[in-house]
Amino acid sequence: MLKKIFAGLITLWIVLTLTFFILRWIPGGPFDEEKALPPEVKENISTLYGLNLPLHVQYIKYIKSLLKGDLGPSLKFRDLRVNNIISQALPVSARIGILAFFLSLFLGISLGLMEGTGKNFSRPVSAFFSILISFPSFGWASLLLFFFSYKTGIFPPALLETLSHYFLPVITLSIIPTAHIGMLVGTRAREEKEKGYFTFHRSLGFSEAKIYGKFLLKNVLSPVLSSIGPLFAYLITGSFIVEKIFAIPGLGKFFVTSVIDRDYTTVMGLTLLFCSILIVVNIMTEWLLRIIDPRERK
Amino acid sequence: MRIREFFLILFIISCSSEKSKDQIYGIISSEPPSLDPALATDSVSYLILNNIMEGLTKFDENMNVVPGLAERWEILDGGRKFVFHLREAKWSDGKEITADDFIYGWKRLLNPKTGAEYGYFLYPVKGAMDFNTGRIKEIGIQAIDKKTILVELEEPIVFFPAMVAFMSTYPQRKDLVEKYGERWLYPPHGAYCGPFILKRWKRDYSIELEGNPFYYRPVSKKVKLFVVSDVSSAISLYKKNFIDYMGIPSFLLSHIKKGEFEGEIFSFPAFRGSYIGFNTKKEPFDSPLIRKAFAMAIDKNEIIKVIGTGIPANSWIPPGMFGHNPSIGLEFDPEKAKELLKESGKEIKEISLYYNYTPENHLIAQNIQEQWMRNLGIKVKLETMEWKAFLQMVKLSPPPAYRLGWAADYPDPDNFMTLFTSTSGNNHTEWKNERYDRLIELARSEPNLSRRLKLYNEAQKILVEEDVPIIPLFFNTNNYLVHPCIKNFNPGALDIISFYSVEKEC
Amino acid sequence: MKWVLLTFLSIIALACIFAPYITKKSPYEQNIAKILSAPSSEHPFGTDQLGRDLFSRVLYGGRTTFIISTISACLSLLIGTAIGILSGYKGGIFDTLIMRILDGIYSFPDLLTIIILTVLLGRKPSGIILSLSLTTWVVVARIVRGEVIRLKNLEMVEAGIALGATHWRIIFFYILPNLKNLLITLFVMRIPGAILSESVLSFLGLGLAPPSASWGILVNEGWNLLFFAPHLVIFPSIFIFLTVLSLYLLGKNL
Repeated sequence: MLKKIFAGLITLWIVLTLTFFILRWIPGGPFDEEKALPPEVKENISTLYGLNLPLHVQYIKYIKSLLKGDLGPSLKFRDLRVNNIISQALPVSARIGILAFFLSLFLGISLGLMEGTGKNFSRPVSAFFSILISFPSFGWASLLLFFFSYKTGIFPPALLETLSHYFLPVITLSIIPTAHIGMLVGTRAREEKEKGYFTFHRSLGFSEAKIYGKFLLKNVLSPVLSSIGPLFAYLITGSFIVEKIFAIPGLGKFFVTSVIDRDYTTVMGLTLLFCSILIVVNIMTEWLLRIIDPRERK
Repeated sequence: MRIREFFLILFIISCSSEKSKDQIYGIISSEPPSLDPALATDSVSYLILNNIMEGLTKFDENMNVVPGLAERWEILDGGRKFVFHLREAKWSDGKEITADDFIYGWKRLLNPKTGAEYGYFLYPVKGAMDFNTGRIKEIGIQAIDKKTILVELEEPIVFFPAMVAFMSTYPQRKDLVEKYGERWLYPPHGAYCGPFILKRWKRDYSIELEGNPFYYRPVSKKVKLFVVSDVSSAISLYKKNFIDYMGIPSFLLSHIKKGEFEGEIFSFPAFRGSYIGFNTKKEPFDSPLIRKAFAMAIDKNEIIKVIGTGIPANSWIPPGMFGHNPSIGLEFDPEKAKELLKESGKEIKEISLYYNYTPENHLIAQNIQEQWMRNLGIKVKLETMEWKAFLQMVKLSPPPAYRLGWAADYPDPDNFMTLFTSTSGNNHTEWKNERYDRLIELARSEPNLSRRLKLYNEAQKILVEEDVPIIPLFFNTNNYLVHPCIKNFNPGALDIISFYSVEKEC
Repeated sequence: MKWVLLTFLSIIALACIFAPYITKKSPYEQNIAKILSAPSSEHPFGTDQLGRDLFSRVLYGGRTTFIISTISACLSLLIGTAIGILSGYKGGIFDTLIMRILDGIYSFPDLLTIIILTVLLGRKPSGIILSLSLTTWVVVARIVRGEVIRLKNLEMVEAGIALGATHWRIIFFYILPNLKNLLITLFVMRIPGAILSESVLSFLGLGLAPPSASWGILVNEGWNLLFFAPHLVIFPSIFIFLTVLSLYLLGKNL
């Protein structure tokens, strides 16, 4: 376990360093706008943020403040620190992301089991999954927006005022993960079923429900568990598309806009955040896997 | 989700949010990066700040300078000195607005430690540039008494009163800035000198304004603005009556007109222009003949048709601004263009046009590509770039031809014409013309309007008829969908809605 | 089922390849008088903001879409397979090292990679192809590595090693043939993935520049007019949807 954490930290450091230097290397800076700044003004701003120091000095300064838990000031939102941006936007994204995560887990597993074990449902459910993944998420968002809001007005089109505002964004976010989980579960369930212990256990007198609940589900879930780690990380850090279309004040859009704005510190902070969530989630799923399936303990 | 949160949300639904009648609902396309007059640079921040703050002067609907916090002013020494007399007015916490608030605000803007991007806005003030670089400690602004300000400029500027309506020049409260830093204007501790106070600000989501009872002519009104960047979502919100007005991009205009929103669309000419700039030092555009030929080979009406709205431009000072003169400029004339091209004796096969990718630029560029092919028989390669990379390239090594825009901060032609002087940091054409520079400099201090007009006419002729370092394409319009209940909606040519005059009647 | 899908895909592909024989209209010719006209007998899919015929734009756009997605799938598969085989076959420290690097690349924000590439290469097909392959090969590498480790422990391979076969021989004659089916499935699944990713890139404003228009770009160009000229979005979307769907189904049925 300690080894894993150490490896994770190394990965983190590599990503951080790469991001830092690549960001400075791409053309255009945070204060380049349509109206060019006179050199005097630029000088003041550079001094303020230490942007005119040699690159390695900036790097060391950044790492030092990072170790104190400070991600630095945002260069675009000049009254905010990157810590503020994350603490204000992450909870919103996480709320929607977690709802979408559980919805897609629930739908994915139940539909997947239907596909893998059911007789009559298998084909239609399988086709349904294929349909879900054959359209980009912004396409689904626009379809939902058009039919459920613009045409019929069942759900509000955007913003986050009441519970019904959560409906469209959560559904949009869950569509593709549902299909992926469902297909995975379906394949595994079919494999398990073909192994034949189904009939074996039935002959031992276990009820159908018990076989499903105890043996099948357990064997099906462990591969699902190992693949939903990254999904979880993606969902809770927000999606640019969903946040833009539904006007949600989440973190996802910063992943795009901060790069476009060359808001160096925000890009760094978000990369760091995403990367650490990914690492933590991976370590945790591995740990969970060992609890569920002792065979993994090697 | 925890149970407590679930019930909280249930509770919110039960107190369903009916749209209230005495509140105006609108949208802003992006979150204001910061609401500190010293740090704000973008138009959304200007919109909010303009409603909660006020400068020495302000603009009426027709963009005339009218008294703001200064009830009158005197021009001394041929426009080298200005005396502003403040009116009796209070901040929203009851404190008196004094000359010191302005002096403090200007000095904070220019303080090198503030790192204000718009610091240069006040460079015309005596000593401001040296103050901004930290070389000297005083600038040419002083309080004669509590209510009188004397401003001394480096060079005479006749339109200075128009400049001090801009957000960077708003007064600032020393006590609040010292306590709260760049967040001094934020609720709940902020103090405001404009018609509204900033009641609530949910970052990246909504901004609520409420009438300022201490304003010198108070109104009781409420405004709620949501941050919505996607146009389709905004239209859905408008259609479902969640918002009372919304801005619409020009390319949507003609289609909305045909549809169900007829009679709810309003277009306002803007002080914003688009142009194609040439690098006058690079082949093939180092010859004015060729630049002229390319300029005469674009029918600007066609561009307007493609993007949906706008005012075709042959000259560079926008309509509605002093000095606008539609009779100046090269008319569309493909025959003459071909002749000029022949006359130049150069054989041009292909050129490249650089621009940054936006849906609108994309349409403009493709249309120009087709027109130049049709009218001159020259193939045009379109090179799109990412915005910041494009800006850096235009600045460091301008390509032969590029598309850029320009927007005014205040309604004076100087704002548009200074752009192409040889010392301008925004002139990427490498074009330098002493006569042009001289005319612009003279016009800046010319109090006589007819003489000033003559100077600008002459300068414009050099810019768009003789040397042609740029082809003006069109002037933008700002377009809005406005609910019939909303009256007096007018964002003006600077595209800044003043909610003070907007009325909601149902 | 397989043959139905293959026939359908071939029809779409052939229609795109032989676009000039199917429609006489140029995808680039603008007609200011006919901006955004609705579908009619003359323009079966209507026209766009510049009055260009959408039907021919969709057909010609299909070429770009197919080229981009196929080449990027190839590249991603090539890099992924090479690294995956090397890492899985060699094992030990080398494998651990490669896996760490893969972790790092996987955690590196895709968008940053893409913006860097568009800045460096411009918004040309080559830039998009590289973006799509560089952000996806890691997943391929992981899958291939897992499979190689499984194969390595098979009797057949162990026998080969015992008989003194060289490493290259084992890789080419024992491992690769066994990977064949997996690779074909991965390839068929990667193409629709690339088609979708390309359309998402266009939506983010990071897609191709004119005059090359892919289906993703066509959808994105019409996006803001969704409620007013829906044909701009609907027709290219249908093509994306049906192509991607049949490729996925094909991948499943292989």
